[in-house]
Amino acid sequence: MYVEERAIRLCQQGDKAEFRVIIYLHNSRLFKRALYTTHNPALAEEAVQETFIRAWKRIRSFKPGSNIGAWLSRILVNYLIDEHRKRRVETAPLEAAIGLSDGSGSTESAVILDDKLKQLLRLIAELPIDQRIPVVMRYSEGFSLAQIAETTGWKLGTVKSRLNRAMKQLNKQFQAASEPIASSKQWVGRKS
Amino acid sequence: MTDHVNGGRLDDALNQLFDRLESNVVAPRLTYLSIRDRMGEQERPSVRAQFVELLGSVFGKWRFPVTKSQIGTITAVVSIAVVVAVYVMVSGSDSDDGGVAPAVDPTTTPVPTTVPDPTATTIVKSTAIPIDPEIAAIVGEAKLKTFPAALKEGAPELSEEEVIDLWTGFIADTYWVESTDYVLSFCGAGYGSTPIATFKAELEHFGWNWEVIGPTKFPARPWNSARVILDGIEAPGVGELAPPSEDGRLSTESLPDQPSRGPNNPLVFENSDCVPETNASAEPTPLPALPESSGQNVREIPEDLTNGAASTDAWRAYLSDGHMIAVDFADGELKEIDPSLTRYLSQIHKLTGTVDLLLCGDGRFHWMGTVPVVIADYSTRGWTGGQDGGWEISQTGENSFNLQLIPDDSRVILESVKFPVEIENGRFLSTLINTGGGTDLIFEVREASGCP
Repeated sequence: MYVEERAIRLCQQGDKAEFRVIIYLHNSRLFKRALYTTHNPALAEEAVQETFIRAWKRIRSFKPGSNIGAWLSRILVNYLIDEHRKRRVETAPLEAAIGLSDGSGSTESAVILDDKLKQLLRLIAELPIDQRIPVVMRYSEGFSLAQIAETTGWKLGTVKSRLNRAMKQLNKQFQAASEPIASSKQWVGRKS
Repeated sequence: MTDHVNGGRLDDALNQLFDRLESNVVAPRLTYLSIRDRMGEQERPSVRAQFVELLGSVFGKWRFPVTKSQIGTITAVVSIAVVVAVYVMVSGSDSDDGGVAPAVDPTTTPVPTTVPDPTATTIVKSTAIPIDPEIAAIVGEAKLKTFPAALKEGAPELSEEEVIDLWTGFIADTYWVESTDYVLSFCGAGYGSTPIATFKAELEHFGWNWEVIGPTKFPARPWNSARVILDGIEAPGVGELAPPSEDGRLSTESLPDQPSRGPNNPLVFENSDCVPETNASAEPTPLPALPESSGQNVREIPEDLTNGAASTDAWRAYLSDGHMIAVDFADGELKEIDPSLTRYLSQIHKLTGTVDLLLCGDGRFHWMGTVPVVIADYSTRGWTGGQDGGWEISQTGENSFNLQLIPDDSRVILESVKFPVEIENGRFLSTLINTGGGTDLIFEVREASGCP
């Protein structure tokens, strides 16, 4: 994308205003990744701001022609992990933050999720952050393992093992959480 | 990848979950202005980082274990690298910038500067089409420019940087360009003819100047794929220029993932014989008739509201009287807007005259008096852009307000047209939703009587 390349070049020459192009192009994606990772909108917003600020300061180190999206993502991921370690940031109920609905409400902008998906959302929030990150990248953005490795700066083997652990954990709890629902439905059926 | 872990069920659920979230979660608008003060100074890459990068560039493709011959090569290269690194450190200590030059794209290579029939390309100040004084006031005096000899055919090859600089300087502030080839003139917005270019190029519109940002070559024709970027930002959906039709008319072409744009889209480029829509003595372009489905948007402004003495409550009552159009611009997408209104607005190429500024901040409307403003071209482009250029309704912060524009022709209340403004140095800066913070459309508030 020529516009981006040009913006990067000008930023590297100190043109601060040109950085708005970078912000515009990457803000949404970074925010969503941060939100899905932290389940905390305030922290996600803060993380994105901090990512851009750090990126600006370090942009002279950015190698032209490289993937600035991956570069920004790496800054974001490092920030999120650092903050998690420093502050032990708790995940917030994402359902409330993004206006989750079970479909019965009238709020047009609400995200309609059934119980199963809500449960899954909570399970993701309970994952350790270094497992949550690859899950988010894998499923929200469809990243390959190699792309996750490139973006996070982790080794490919590390990505595989973390994602594998995450998926095992999710699968175990997801199955367990789904069973009672099925049983309950059957029991209700018999009662009637 | 994950199927071996859990089968398809969890996979499906995860995909479903993120699909739902993706289509509903909207990122808060982060503006450049909002973080500018915190951005601080740039860090310079450390010498160590450069050294590591240098080594990386040398060994990047190698994997250990290596052969004996490779070891020999590595040893030799490391020796050279150490010498280079020492040189960098020594020379860097004496230079103003710490010895670290801004990164430069190493792939930049000289490019040919072929232009279409350069001998016939001339730049003249047009006398055929009167310059709208309002526009002239904005763009400044028309300038007579000489086509850069270095860009003419036969001139020595230039680097891409040099080509861009030359074209940029050539186009900037130029009011009229003629050539035997296509002259792209901006006629759709009511201007006499604002030149853009006569060649294939990527253009960037900063303020009122057109800046060439990326030509690598200038084929004579077909004229195509010049991307116009509004206000410094590549807005989604900003059309690309299609090759000219037989009559020489150039129009925008929708990007693949964007809805089609009609022929009345303001982003229409025509060749040099386009007829100016306005001039100093002409009547303002009449507003097109509203489509019936947008009838609710036609409303007279009561005189008692426009005499400057209207109370805040009166305006609030008026504006909240069911006439507000539900417009939700979020993350570059336009939602919940009557498409007929969009079409209607797309036909408004220019609104001139007095515009009343009504600022509502902190949930209160403040009657700010009458401010002469020209809303033209890319204002309407912003309104009509649909997904790419809508104005955003937003309260962006302490110094941010929703700005409402009421055109002089009070037949139409563009209550849907709101956009945030931020106050900086006493000026209201509009912010296009797509700019992520911009300083593109500046409203000078000359009178602020009535503002508490």
